[in-house]
Amino acid sequence: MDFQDIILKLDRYWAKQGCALLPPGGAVRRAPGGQLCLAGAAGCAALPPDGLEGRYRYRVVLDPAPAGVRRVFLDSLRAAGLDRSEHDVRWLAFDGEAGTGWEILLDGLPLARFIYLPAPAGAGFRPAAAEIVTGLERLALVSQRKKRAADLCWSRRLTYGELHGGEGQ
Amino acid sequence: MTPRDVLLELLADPLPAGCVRSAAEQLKRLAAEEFAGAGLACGSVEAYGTCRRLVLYAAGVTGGQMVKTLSDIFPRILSRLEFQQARAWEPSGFRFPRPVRGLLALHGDRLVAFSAAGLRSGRTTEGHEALGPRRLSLASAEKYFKTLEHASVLVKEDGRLEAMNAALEAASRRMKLGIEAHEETLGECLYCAEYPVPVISGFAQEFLALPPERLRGVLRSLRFFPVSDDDGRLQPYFAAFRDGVSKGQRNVEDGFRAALESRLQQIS
Repeated sequence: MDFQDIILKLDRYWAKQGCALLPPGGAVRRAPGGQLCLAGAAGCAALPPDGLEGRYRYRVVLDPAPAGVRRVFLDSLRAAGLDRSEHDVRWLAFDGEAGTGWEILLDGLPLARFIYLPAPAGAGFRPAAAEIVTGLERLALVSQRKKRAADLCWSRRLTYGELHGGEGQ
Repeated sequence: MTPRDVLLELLADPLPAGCVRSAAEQLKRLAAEEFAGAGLACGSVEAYGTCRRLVLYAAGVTGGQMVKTLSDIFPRILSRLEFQQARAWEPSGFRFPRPVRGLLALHGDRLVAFSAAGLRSGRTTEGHEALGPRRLSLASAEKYFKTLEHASVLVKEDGRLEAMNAALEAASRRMKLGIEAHEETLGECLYCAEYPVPVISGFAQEFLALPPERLRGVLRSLRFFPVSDDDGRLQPYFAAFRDGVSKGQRNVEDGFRAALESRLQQIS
């Protein structure tokens, strides 16, 4: 599955889950107390310091997070061409000010960060919102069974390396 | 009435490895207290923990009005558990390190009905996550450990430790090399996998030029086990554990190797 197909499959998958697909840079202002469900891919000019590989991320925000949210996430990986049973998936827990969650390792390498955002102060109980950020390069490397990002097929004609001045060697 | 076994299982999102052992110890202590307080006699009370579940198992429990008594005791035991980091995930006010996804409670073949953490107890649970979202239905408490083992979950810490030690010994014999089964690393692995499956991988020779203790430190920080020859010289291999099935071992070996080599590159 080409890199761009992975993005398309993830878009379709999350849209089916009821997410609004948001182009990068879209500034959403929600109604107070309203529900929110967003998804979309984004690229960064500088490598983001989030512990994930590469410069492309797929970000999903689910507020409130449904009970089966982890399973929904695992199924999204399958939609992107990854067979869960052929890999080791680890959920390394962390608790911090930014929230409570996991660094998700795929075969020992960082794949995604899953965070339950801290509850907003006051106004009684609110169910937790979840933010899931997946490193698309890592996902594509596994899905395409490649070793180097530069060799990833971006589209039928172009590789990741050709599109990024040979980056990812 | 013949004494039957009593089971309580709490299924959750993956728990921080550090909190499980203490939670299982508390569970055992609180259960013994509550059972004694309610006048229930039992053969033994044990508690176990994995990265996704806390389990209380009491064998041969007798007393009056068992199911009724247990349905009062179980929610009380759960609400008395203490954690360093916990929050409320639903409106009931129950606090836990991660969201609770299921409660299983049986006395023999009878359901012990109660509510806690915004959930009602039932007689179903889940097996290993790698097997998919299949629900397991329990006919009786006594069938619990066997049923879970068939679904690739070793509930008891002893069982997992034994499986890990046996796997390391077998791999060591096969390689004709020693695997340094560091106790602390084994302890960390204990709460990282519900079904530890051994993985043997290697790294580039050039990293053997690093100071051996440095190399051992990096391996252990990734929960990998160093491999050495009879004279204790490190070899360019390591052992590790993955969680779940043994399909796609090659993917895991390559991934673990890449994770290690990128860490080694940073320090050399």
